[in-house]
Amino acid sequence: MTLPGSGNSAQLAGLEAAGNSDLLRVTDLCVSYGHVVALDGVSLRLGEGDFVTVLGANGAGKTTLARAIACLLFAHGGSVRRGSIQLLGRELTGLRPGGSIRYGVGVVPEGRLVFPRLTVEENLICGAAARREASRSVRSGLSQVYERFPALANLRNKPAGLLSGGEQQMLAVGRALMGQPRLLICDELSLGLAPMVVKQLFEFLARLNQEQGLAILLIEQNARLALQYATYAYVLESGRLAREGASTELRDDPHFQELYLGGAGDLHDAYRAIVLNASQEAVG
Amino acid sequence: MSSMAKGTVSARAETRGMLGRDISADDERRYRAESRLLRTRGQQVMALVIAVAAIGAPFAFAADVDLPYNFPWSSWLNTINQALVALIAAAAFNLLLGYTHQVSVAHAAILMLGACTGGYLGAVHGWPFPIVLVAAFVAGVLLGVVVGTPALRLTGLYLMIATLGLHFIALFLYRKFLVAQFGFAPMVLPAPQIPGWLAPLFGGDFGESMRVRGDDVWYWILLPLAVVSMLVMVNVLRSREGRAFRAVGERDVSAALIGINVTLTKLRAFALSSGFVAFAGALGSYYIGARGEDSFPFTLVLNYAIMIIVGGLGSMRGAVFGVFFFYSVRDILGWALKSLPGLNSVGLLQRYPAELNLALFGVLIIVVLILRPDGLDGIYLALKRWLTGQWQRWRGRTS
Amino acid sequence: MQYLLETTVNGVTLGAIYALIALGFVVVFKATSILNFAHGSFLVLGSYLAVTLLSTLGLPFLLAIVLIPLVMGGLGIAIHYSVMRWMVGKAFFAVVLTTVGMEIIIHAALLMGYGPSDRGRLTGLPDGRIRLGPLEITIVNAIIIGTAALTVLGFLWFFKRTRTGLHMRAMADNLEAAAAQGISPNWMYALAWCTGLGMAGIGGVLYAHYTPSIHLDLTAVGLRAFPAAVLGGLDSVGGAVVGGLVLGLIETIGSAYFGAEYRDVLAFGTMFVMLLLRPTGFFGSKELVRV
Repeated sequence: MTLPGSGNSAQLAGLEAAGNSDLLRVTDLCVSYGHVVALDGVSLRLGEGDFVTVLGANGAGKTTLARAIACLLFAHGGSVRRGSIQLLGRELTGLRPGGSIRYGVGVVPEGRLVFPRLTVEENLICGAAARREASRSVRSGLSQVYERFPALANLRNKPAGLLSGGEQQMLAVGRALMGQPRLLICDELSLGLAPMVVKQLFEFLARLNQEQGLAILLIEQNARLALQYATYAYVLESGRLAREGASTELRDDPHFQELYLGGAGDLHDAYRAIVLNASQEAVG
Repeated sequence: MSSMAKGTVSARAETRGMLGRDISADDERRYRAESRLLRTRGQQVMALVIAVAAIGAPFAFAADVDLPYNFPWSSWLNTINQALVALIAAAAFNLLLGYTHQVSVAHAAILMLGACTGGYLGAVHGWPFPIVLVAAFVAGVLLGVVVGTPALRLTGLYLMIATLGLHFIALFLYRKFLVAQFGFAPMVLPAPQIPGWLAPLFGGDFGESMRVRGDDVWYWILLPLAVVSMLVMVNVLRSREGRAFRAVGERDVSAALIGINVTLTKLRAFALSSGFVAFAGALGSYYIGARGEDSFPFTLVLNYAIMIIVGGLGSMRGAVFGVFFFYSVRDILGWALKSLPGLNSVGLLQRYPAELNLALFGVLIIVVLILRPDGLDGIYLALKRWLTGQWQRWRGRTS
Repeated sequence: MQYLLETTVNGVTLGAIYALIALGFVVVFKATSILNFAHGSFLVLGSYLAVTLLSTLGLPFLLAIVLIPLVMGGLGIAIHYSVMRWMVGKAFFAVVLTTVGMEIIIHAALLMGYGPSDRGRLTGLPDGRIRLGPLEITIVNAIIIGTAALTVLGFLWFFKRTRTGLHMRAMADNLEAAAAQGISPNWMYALAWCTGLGMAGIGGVLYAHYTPSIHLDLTAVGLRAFPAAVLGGLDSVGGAVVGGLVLGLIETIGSAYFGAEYRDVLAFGTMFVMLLLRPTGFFGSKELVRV
């Protein structure tokens, strides 16, 4: 079976051969905010335990895709015009706001969106909202999160609005994990964070993916970083799927490098070239 | 960003820059044509029809006509007069609520101000009618500036709350004023005097000044005043300031980014709106003749809200529809409950015509806001589009 | 001195009722960002329902105080699912105008149901006074204060200590983030309206025993929610309670000094002054979020 705009069928065959059944299947998704079309016929798939990234420039539609899967379009006046999103066969479009969370989708939203006036611990407890668990299992979930993020344990009674960016990001991830999702969507984790913190977070995600088999859909502007951790990538451009492929393949593709990785060489070289050109123009 | 230049010279320079060439006489003609109030042939015909109807109305309604089931006829002039006064206030309310989206519930408070100005200057001090009206307008503008300056710095949320407080404060002051000036009797305003040389226009004898009495005379005062007020407001809305109103109402952050002084624009809208509302308050007090301590309940604000919402927010034509709809439905519903067989026997409906009316309007507001935010105006536009489509199809078939 | 003490007690009684009304109002506002214009008529509805249950039907007070908030809470849920849910995300002024429409309908319905004439104060509660140290307080006032206090405490316990209350607070903090955890906005909104109306209902029942006459203009009393909430801080639950108490005191003591006709001006004038000096009120939020 080939998808529109997909890479060569050998790749797909490779994926399928790996024994992954489809956890998430997006088919011909069209989303618009009023009259503005944000996604135009996007299709992708994600299997259990996959670590997939969605790349693209600002405004390409990546966050819209994340919102559509998480049923959060309502908060921005968006709606699904056409297409389907299926999680293990269950149709997600048309669910009530936040409805897909119940079925195993976890979201770390763009901008973190922690609850600023609630304490860290209260934030985390909210993460388990969809699962309606007894307080004992919520408490054990809490202790798991504190184990993974010891810094959060020290901050547990602090209002989340007073945390630093990196701490808030940890909190947002921990909160999403409280729901014990099958699919974790991370939207622009790296925004506004120090590179060191970003690296730690991504390492953590990679470990989660490998050790627990948690499927991760990583929405990222920082293509270079994302391709280091994800195994497969989809590239969105102006609401359409421009490319897809295994990370290794994309990383070695010169055209892709040019567009998204700042050129074959270092970003440094590219900048230097620009500056030299500009100063030459000024003088000459 | 180029400054908002005023003189024609710099405006020309701007335009020259935009067009890439000098402005020709052709350009000027086209601009003038486009900025005319009645642009298309259709609009001109419509305006003519309305003008004819407006002039003929009082004569038509004076005639003795018997309609089936006692449908009211001659009392329509009274309804129209009330609607004309309300139209000025409603249009001004719409300017604030429908264009700049400022939720102010001080409407009744400003009406009270107008009434007080009318009462103080007109009844107590006997000033002439036109001067009192102008004074009321000025008072309204002043109030708008005084209240608006602190209140408009706050978000829309707080403006609504502040104006709610204003209502109660105004009500208190109004009642104090009434007692101080008129004791426990209602405030009575003298009928305005028409000078002798104008008397023939109103059906009187030349040289003999007459008092304005009766709906057929009042019509000729209220109609021009309403038309002029509407024209002024419509013109402001068509100007750059009016576009600023709309910009501020839709998205004030973006408006600020393109150089609009948001607070000043809101203040101007508030002041202009208050001026006309106070004007209408004074005018209405003269028309009705007397005002008491219960003449301005909070439900008045709700009534005007009904008028402009059902008519269609953000449209002056909608305000006209809404006002006439409000007053007509009142009368028609009253008539229907009393005179239509079948309805006039249902006891519950008989006992509470006013409340039924009110409930109906409440439901209408909600329905309009949810389903059809452009209200009657929207229906009118849809109808016009459909009719134009039919007309064009008919012409296509015959040509 | 005795007079001042009595007036103060009356002020606390009125303030307790105002605290309830304000709390209901603020809960709706925090959860839905809606300034509910119909809140005034909710109070009147509660009072009139009390008239029906207590005066016309002769039911005991305890039954009414439980039944009426239940009925009104149900009405709140109905209001959300039938009307307000369609206005979610629409512009502020449009949403406020919808509540205006609701106000008109309730007003008309009450007129039709109960007629325009005034009703007298409800007198079902025992007469007499009790002594608390130097204070002498009528039993009616004591019951009013006690019921209001219990309701407020009950609500605060629900809001701060239960999981559902936490979800409501989360939603008030950030709607999108709450939905991202699977918290259903619709259900939370409905719950907020349910609470808001329930509180107004209890307030109405209590006020029916306090006011000398029950009539439709009591919407002005119900609208005290605005000044009380402004005093306390529009989005502060604790502030609403404090604001209500303070407002009740100001109004009662002020009108004892200046005259009963000054009541409205005192209440809304205080609000006006607060808006000029400190719009966020005593406990209103200053942003905690670090961007």
